[in-house]
Amino acid sequence: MIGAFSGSRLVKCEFCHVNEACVEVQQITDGCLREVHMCAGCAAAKGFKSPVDLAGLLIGGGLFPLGGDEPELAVPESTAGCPVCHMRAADFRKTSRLGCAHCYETFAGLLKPMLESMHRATVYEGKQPVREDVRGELSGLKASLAKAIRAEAYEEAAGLRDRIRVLELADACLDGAAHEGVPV
Amino acid sequence: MRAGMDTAQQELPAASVAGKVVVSSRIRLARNLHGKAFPGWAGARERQRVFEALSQLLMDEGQLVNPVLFEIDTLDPLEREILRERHLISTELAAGGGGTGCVHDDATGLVAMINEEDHLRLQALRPGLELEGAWQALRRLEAGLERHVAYAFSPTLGYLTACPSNVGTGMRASVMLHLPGLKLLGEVDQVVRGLNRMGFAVRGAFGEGSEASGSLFQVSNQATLGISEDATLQRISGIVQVLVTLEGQARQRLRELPMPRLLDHVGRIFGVFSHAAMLTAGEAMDILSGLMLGIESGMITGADGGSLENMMWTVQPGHLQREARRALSALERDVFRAGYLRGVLSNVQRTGQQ
Ligand SMILES: [Zn+2]
Ligand SMILES: [Zn+2]
Repeated sequence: MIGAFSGSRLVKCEFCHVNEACVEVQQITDGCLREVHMCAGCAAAKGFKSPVDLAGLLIGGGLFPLGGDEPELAVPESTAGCPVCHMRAADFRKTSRLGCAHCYETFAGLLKPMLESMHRATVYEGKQPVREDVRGELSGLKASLAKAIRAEAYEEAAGLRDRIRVLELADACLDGAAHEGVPV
Repeated sequence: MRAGMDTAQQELPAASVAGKVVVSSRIRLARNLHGKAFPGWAGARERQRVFEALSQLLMDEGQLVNPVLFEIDTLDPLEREILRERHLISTELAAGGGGTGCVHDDATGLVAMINEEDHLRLQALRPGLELEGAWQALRRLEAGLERHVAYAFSPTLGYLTACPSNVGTGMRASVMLHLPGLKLLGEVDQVVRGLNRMGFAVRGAFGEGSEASGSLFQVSNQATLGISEDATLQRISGIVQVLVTLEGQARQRLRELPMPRLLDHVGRIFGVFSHAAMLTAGEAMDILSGLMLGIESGMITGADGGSLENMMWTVQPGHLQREARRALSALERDVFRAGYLRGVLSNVQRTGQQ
């Protein structure tokens, strides 16, 4: 089984012995369960696509050698750092932790195979934050407004405009609150 | 001896088994502030500012009844250890460093860690199987904070976290289960393997696999991308129900075995409990687990399952030193633990014995 590491312990990757482990694999040898900790880069390089594949691999006995060779990293090296927080790909590899939210864009190419192996998915399915709800509704309403104006449905357009004004105010409030509440 | 055997063979209603299998439920949400470097990469001053702002917000947060703030660097090692053993803070947070701490509210079972791997780790702990209640309490806390802060969020990736293994919902839901029947029958590894193949992490809450101390196991989700919060909780609940059923069947089978396995197990546990002069935390937990099984089977009297379950924590090194009111070395702890266990459980008796 391949799993997201609970993150409560900092453990070195058992393959490269350099990076912090970020993924744990439960390996069964001779009926004994053992955890193998690996960094995201090594997990991706070992080609672990999904927990199911991996479980099959482990139980099938065709296991990678433990404490074996240096892995060849299959992930592309990006030399430019993150423009926001200046983290470089090498820094990320060392800790398996990103520097800021923008790193997800900066290292998108590096992250995609990792996300696939960790989650078996790359697209978010969860709930929206309050402000995203507001913004989502806003962009929908703006599109409707443009359509109403093209169709010369002015009464409908006026109603939409009122609703947009309210939501824009709400968005601005949330923004203001964010800065007022946390002066950091 | 006969009397003990007879009670041991009695059938237990399924509900009472279920009640004794699920220990606690826990959900954790990872959140970061929009526009701020993640704690591990942020400078010391920025971390301190985030800590001050977030701790103040949390202390003023209406969702918390009686919040208490702990700043890790001001705590002594024993206090940190106790918080860690209680799962109120992680090992990583217990290490301290400037601008780290937690706000704990005992009344609601809510804890917020500040500047651990992420700016915020909001956590709800509930006894028994209470994922839904934990989730609602967390959502209210999260929404309360969101009136003052904006979280780092992407429409395609969800909540952005320092480690890509948490990105998306940032949610880790886990349920702790007491599985002595499966462990005694040697079926734990098989069950764990099956669940792992289905994409769930099942591991010993203290120690791994067949070594899991106190037969305590934890089931949690792995993926935080591509699955919604509600779907995650539903899947975990489903797995918990499967495990409760399997454990109930295992305990039933133990009672029906031609060989007196259960009687032997509880008897041995009772022997060690009565006579050991030194006990490690793991041994003490196994004793508590065995006594719980013995009470359920009518072979042990003089304690209730709830207080035995509680003692799983009080036999841990930090808690034990608090009981002893002094620092103890590992070996001193083992000696103290054996006496402490017998002292607290002085009414515990083996039934049906001459
Ligand atoms: Zn590695
Ligand atoms: Zn960055």
